[in-house]
Amino acid sequence: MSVSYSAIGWNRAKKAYDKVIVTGLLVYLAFFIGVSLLAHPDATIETLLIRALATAAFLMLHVILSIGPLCRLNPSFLPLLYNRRHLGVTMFLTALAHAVFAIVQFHAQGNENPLVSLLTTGTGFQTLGAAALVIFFLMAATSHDFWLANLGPRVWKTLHMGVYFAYALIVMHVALGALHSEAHPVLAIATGAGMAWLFTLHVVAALRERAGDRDDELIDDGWIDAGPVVDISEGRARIVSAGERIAVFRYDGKISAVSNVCRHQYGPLGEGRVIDGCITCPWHGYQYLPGNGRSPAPFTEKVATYDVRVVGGRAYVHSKANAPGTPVKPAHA
Amino acid sequence: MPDTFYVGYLETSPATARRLKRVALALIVLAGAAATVLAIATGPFDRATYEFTKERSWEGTLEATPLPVLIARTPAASGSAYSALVRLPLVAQGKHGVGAMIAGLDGASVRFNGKKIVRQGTTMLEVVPGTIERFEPSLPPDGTPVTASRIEDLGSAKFSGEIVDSKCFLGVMNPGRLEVHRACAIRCIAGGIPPMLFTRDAQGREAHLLLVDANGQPLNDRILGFVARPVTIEGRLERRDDLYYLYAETWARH
Repeated sequence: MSVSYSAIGWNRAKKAYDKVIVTGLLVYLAFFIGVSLLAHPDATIETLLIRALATAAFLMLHVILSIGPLCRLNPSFLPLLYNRRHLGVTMFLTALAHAVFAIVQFHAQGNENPLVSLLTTGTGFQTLGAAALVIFFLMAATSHDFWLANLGPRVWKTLHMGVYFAYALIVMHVALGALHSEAHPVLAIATGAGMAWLFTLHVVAALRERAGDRDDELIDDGWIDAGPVVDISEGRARIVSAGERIAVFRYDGKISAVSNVCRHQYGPLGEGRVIDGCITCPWHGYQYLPGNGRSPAPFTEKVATYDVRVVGGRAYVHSKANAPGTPVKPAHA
Repeated sequence: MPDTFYVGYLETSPATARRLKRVALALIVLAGAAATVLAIATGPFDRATYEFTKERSWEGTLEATPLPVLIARTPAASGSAYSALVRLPLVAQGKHGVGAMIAGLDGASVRFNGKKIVRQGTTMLEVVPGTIERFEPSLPPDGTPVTASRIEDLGSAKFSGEIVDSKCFLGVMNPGRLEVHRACAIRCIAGGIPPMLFTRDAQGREAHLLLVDANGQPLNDRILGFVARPVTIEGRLERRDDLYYLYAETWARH
């Protein structure tokens, strides 16, 4: 979290994350080009560079799209999500390098402007790739929290869900281009396996989430039974649902409830925990005070709060949300 | 079960840090393994070469139509009194034909610097700008007979194959054919590079047929929509020394 904007709010974890990204990318490019030169001595270096960058970006896109559902299925993957935007920007830059080399190789030094040639030579697969690259650019350019704050989480999130449309464009780009020309079935098998992996992962994660999404029963004038207090671990939450998901936290002998949706990137607050007296989002560590849903000063984020009560050892939460940041007296656990 | 909660800006527990290092190492190893598999599988790459960094001096007779070629002599084969003639199609740098560079030189003896492009017995030359000059040829001092160019009408024929731009296909790019190269081939042919039909005979051997229309005129702009697609072309086949020309009458996708 930060109260002012800087290009990158570096910390040790982000630096380590970026070192792994850069090392992985360089290892990939070196192996691809090195092995290709040995296996295909007639290949030209420009072609190998174009293909190495293309396949690296495509693989990175698969990793990026896998992180979200993997984290929903198993919190052990959360460290991969923490700095995912840097992986996304790296993927965009790799795809951009592929595009630049390809445009120079296939469209430059001719009788037409290379960009005009790109759009007019009638090779649909290149146009599909260019369209995906525009989406990746918009996502990379707005990946900073400055844009998240100024566009608002809803618009920002919608824009960044465009990655799925871009993925579909890239699959068609590969299918109508490389797969149309490749004699070896490995690339086709790998592309199909990648699609099957992502589809299965998203379906399993969605089904798991939906299973816990059944609206809890309203027992009395809008109150919901959140279950025995002792079933909620200290510093953790139980998520109940009444149209909206509500995170019911137990901490320091008290019960409080807030919206399950973090204001930063809509992370699941109920999967977080209370650290230093603050509910801490598992995605990027954004924090809120349980009693009023406000980020501790000087931060200004607010989430909705809910009335709570404890009767006979069971926690109850009212289904009607209070305005974000409204103080609510915690119930005694 | 180990405590898996992770906040990037907080100090990571030693156990989590060790686990993350193992995961990072595994991901990097996986990246190398994936690159190796995809690199072995990538292709297809044909046997073709382009002497990008090597200029040589060439001389011979320039023939501008039906397509620009240099007719050059090679030493006589053993047992023959005659030197042989080879035809070397000419292109300019980039995605351009030699058109303007050879204006007024049809039939002239010329020498120039060029870069060799070779595939399966067909050799093309990329002319280095500003190096073409005329010269007056002299008869061989040893009295070796001068060979005349041999032109042979092989009659009507029908071929199926792929229309490629001859420059990339013969070696400047690899692969210089198929869908991935289609945009470049269109740009090259639109820029004056001679189009070529790449086909194979019944034994799978490559044949390279230079394409012109039935009247021997360039048909570059008329075939752009057929480039890098499976096509069938009917026309008259002609052999000029070691090069084959197809005077296309009809062409269609199949």
